Amino acid sequence: MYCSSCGAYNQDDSRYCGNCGKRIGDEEVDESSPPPQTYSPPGHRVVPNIPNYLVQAILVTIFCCLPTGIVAIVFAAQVSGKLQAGDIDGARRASNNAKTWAWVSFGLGLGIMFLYFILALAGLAAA
Amino acid sequence: MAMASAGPLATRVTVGPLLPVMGVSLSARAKCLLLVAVGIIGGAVLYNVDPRNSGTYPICPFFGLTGCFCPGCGTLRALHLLLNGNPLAAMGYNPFAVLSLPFIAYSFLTGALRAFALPAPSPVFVRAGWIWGLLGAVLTFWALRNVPLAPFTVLAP
Repeated sequence: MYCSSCGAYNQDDSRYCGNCGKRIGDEEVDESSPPPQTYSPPGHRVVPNIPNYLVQAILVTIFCCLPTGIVAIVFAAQVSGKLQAGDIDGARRASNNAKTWAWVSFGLGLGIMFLYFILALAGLAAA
Repeated sequence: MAMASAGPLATRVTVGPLLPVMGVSLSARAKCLLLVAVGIIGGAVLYNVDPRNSGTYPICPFFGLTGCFCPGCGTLRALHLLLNGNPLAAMGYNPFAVLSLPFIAYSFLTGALRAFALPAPSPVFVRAGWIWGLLGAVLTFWALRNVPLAPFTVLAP
C-alpha cells in the first residue's frame, strides 16, 4: 500500500510509513508524537521504500560501455540483503552507493559515447 | 502545521534530482517524458543506422583500452537488430541485453504509471539472492565470452 502522507510504497501490513514515519491509512495524522523514521511496531515488519537501483545498475552494465556498473549491482544486492535483515541504515547507505556508482558508470560510459555520437552526427552533417 | 503540510507535497512533486551535479531537479513526470523523448530519438537513429558498419558509432571505451569484450559489448547491434525485427540475431550479439529488456520495460512502465498517479502494480521486491545470482551470471558471461575457444565463441558479440 502507499503512504497516505508522502506516497511512498510500504508492505501491506505496515502501520507506519518507512519513508516518513507517519501512520498509514489514517487520514488524521497524529502530529503530537511522530514515530522515528526507522520505527518498527512489534509484529509488523516495515520495509521502507529504499530503492536498490537494480534496473539502473543493469542498464549501465549491459546497455552502456563501462563495466563499472558491476559495482552498482553489488550495492543493489546489499540494499535488498540489508532490508531483508532489517538493517535500515545499512540499506540506505548501500542505496546511496548503488546510486552513486550507477551515475559514475553512466557519466563515464554513456557520456563519452554520447559525445562521440554527437561528433559523428556533426561529421555526417558536414559531409 | 504549515511546514508539516508543505513537506509531503514537495516530496510528491519532486522525486529527486535527475542531474544532481548540475543542480537541475525534475519531477518524476518530466523524467518520464524526457526518457521517452530520448528513447524515440535514439531508437529512430539506431533503427536506421546499422552499428555493424564501423565508424558511425563510438567504439566501446573498455574494448578500445583492453581489447576484451565487456558484458555490454554487442548491445547496440542487438538493439538495432531487434528494432529491425530480428530477435534471434540480436540474441547472438548480446543475450543479456535482449533478455533484460522486458524487465526494464516493466520497471519503466510501472514507474511512469505511478509518476502520473495512475493505478500501477506494486513495486517488486527483488530478494538479495536473485541479485547475487544475476551478478554471478554477468561475471561468468563476461569471462566466458572472452575465451577464444569453440563453445564460448557463441557468446562473443
